[in-house]
Amino acid sequence: MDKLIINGNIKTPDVSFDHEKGQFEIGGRSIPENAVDFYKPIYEWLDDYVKFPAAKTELDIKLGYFNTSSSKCLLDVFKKVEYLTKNNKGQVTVNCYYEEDDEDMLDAGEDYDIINIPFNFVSVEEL
Amino acid sequence: MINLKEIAREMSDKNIILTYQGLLEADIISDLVGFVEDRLKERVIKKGLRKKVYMVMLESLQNSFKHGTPNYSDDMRVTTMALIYDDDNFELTLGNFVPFENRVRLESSLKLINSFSEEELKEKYLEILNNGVQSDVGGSGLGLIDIARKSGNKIDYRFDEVDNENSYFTLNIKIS
Repeated sequence: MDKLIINGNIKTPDVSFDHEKGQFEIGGRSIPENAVDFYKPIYEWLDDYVKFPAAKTELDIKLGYFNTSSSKCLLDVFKKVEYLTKNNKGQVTVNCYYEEDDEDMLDAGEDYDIINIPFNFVSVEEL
Repeated sequence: MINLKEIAREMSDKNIILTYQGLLEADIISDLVGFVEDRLKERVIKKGLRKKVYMVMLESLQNSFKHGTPNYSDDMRVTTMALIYDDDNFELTLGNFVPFENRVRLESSLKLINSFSEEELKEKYLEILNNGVQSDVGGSGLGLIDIARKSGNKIDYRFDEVDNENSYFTLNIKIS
């Protein structure tokens, strides 16, 4: 399989998933009207990845903004990698970056504690 | 000739950040929120509030785009909005035509959302996030709940009869 690289634009994030290193990043902003169209190739790539995953998977979420359509899609991304921990196929960590003073983004990240993988919250000055 | 001086005075007296009237096609929504983001940075509005305004405006405009009257006539697809800065609060007013079936749905959602406490809003959000399915247009049912959570206020709204099939829907949100 190949690395998954998607260049973002004004409405969609940059995506960089390296299957060999298990290092994944979604960054920028995710505000398309219909996020499913954007996230579909990511789901498909992850479905392949979880068959032969790296021992450790680390997913960095560095989004300054994401809309509600994307929040649902992000949950589905988390569920795809949660499959690895549920089935003892590897360790997974999610690092959720947020801008200091942006409590809404921290709350939004904490909404995902329904997912059974460790979430780290990392405060940065600017995203 | 229209009296532009009057309009300019009213815009400046009321501290209007942006008014817009038109179709919400292609990249107009992201352009509008991007424009507002830049103006709020210039006014040195603190980051937390600035991002709330951005998100509330974005979700409101995307709702309008998804649930407004489709292809009835160009006049009916038009959205009108104004963002006002008043005494450290922002007020977003947004109007568009909606077909009858969407009015029924919107009205019951808004009544329910306005009856919720902050904690209940979070519970409802998580319930839909976890169990809901996105519609064909990307509607997740989360937009209005998110607007209520981020704005920190009840959502004011009204429907005015237009004809048998359509109403005019006005949404008024204070963001603080």
